[in-house]
Amino acid sequence: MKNALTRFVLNLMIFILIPVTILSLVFFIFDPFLIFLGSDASEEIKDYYSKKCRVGTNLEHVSLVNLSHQMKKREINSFIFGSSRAGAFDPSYWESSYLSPDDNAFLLNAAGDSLEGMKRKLTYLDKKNVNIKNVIITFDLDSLRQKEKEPFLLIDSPLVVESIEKKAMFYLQHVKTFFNPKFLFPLALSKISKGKICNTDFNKFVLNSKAITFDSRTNNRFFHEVEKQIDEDPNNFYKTPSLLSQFKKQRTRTLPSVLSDRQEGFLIKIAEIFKKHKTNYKVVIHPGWQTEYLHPKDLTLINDIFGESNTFDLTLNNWNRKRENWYDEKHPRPHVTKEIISLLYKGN
Amino acid sequence: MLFHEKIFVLFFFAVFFLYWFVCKKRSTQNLLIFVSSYIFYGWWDWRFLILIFTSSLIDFFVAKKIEGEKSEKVRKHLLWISLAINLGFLGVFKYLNFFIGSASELISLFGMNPNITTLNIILPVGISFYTFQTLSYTFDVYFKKRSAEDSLVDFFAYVSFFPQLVAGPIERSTHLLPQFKKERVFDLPLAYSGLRQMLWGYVKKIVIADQMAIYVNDIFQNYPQYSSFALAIGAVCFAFQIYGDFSGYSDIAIGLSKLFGFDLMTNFKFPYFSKNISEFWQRWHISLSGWFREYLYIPLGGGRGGMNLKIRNVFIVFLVSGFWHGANWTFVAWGLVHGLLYIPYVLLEGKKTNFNKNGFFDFPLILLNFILVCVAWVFFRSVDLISSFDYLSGLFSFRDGGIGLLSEMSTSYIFILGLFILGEWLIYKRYKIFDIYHLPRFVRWSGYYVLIFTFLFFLRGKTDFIYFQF
Repeated sequence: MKNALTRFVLNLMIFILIPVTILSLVFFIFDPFLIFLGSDASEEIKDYYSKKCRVGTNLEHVSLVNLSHQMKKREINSFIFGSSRAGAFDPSYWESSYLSPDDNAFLLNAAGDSLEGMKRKLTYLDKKNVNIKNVIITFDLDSLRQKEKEPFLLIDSPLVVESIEKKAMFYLQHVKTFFNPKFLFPLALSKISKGKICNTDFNKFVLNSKAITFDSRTNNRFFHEVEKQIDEDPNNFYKTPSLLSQFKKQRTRTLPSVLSDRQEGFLIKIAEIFKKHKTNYKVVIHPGWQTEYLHPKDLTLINDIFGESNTFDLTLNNWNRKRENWYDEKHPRPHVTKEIISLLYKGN
Repeated sequence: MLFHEKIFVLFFFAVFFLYWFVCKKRSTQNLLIFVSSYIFYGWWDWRFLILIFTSSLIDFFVAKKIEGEKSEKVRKHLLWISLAINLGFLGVFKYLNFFIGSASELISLFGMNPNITTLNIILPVGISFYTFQTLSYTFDVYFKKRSAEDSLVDFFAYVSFFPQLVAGPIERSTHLLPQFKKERVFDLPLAYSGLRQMLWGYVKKIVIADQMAIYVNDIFQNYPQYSSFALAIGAVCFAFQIYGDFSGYSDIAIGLSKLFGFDLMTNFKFPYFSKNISEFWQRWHISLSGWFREYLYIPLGGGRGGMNLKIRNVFIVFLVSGFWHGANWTFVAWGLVHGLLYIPYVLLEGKKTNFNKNGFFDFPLILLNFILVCVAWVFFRSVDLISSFDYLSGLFSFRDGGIGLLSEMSTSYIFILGLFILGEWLIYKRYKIFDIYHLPRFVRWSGYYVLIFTFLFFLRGKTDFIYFQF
């Protein structure tokens, strides 16, 4: 009996270990999430963005790794912070139009970024003795709200968190995602078909099917394929059920107050870092297709902490007169963000 | 604790390890089964343990009394005590609110306002299953099919055996209890067969039942807006859902038991490949139909006493069977429909016909029987009788309308469904497709990986088994 039992347990272990080992090797060798970027990280990221069918990655982590590689080449002293909504801000345009010739700008936004996340990144730069000369920091309801980050795309990068537990959680979330058949199946299909089958329906975060032009110097990502689609045939682009419902109706409302004492602490910390570095900063309350005013209490607090002259509430805007100014109801297109930058520096 | 929850995986490995590596004696293994089964059951709500403990304790001592008693009258009284207590628990916890509600409705028909409020009673998971299992023991001792059990631990382990505690198969004491008395030796082929059966059970539950539930819930909730076609598909989907759910659970339970050296009875034998209702009931929930035949139909007189008496007994069995499933008139109607469909076979029994001698009409007969079963499932799934009649009238009105979430059923899922039906057909024809020892390990293991990958792909959080509510 003992032999039979030992054989059973051994066989069961081998049965479990075979796929776990193979998948672990694939995970470490092919690094689909770009979490083990090496010495030529910037090139790897560039190569990644040029692919037509890409695995979703943690934007914050990839951007921070790219930043540290770029810092080796030149001094970067100007930063753009915010959630994915800030993704269309073009650092090159900012540099060439409004910054000094020796200033170098970098887009350091993160998917679903929060105040805590922005504070962490600023603290990280501060600790690295980076000169934080110019900053555009954008807030919206989601980033102002306090929230826990869990999915692998949103979780805080191990570069900016201090506790070992949180660092481990970053890798654990990626492992968990990788071993999920809902991720593996579409990934395997896309790999086998060499990107021809890029089924993004399984899980919208798993695969991206739109190619991006990536500028590793500024970390700017330009959605040239989407831009072309909108310019050539906007009706076709906006006909998806999700976009149709988003652009169906416009509303104006005042949001409930979302800034707790904890959030206020993050804002104060951000302002302290700006003060320490004598940063020339612009705080933007992000515009949207919907006119959603921050609660007056929250807006007053932001004004008090950062100063009214530095705070730009763009909730009431003209860009929402035209659907073609937006990718969706929250994400503006690059020509809008250019106008926003111009507005911030008007009169300077 | 559900079979497809992470906590159950941990629970299983812990019990398996202790069972084979630590508790080497039969008595300690039985004690472990008893304790772990109570942990398994108490995971839902520890208060449920009071009921199962009381029910087991009473039957243990009543059976002992019955065995030692010579007077038939006293023996009968003791049997009635056991019946009254067990069915009393069932009545209070499962049917009391139903009786109160029905009485209230009946009184209001006479223009009175009874103003009766129902009680806030939680239905203990699987109460109908373990009540019938413990009753089977008392009946068996009463009918002198077996002697009364001496070991309290063995008996408690038999009643609460966790693989089959909450949704069967409902075991007979003559089959399962003797297995607790034997020394158990780890049997490698049996264990592998158990794992394979569990794997197939998980596929049935997660890939078939849980996916079908999405369409079924949508169609049965919004049926007034949907076309007759959608309603027909809804009934078929429910047939797949309940089969995948219940037979999947049974496969997992039987497979799990094999890993502990136990052999549970077969509960499903491809019921949808039956050519008539009689055959269907020899293949669907076999442990329950067998229980009713043995402890209700035969004691009522069975087929003895003429055709009228036989028809009456068949009807009683189907009505009680319907009522066993739940405290709702829809279940009674479901039992009644099956009773009505069964009558032609009672009438034709014994009359030999050459019809379909060479199996030419097998497929049309299977299809016809499946359609009839699907129609009956409408009563089973509907929330009340009015809804079930509305659903059926919509189904047969051949009306136009929407198809709801059915439009989102992907071709790849339809393909998987086709593969499942084909797989079931192959197992049905060859009967022992699980015995694939002759194939190279690489081929076998690749097949298992594909199945595991498939059910993990479709796994979507916590979804209850339908039959737990019974």
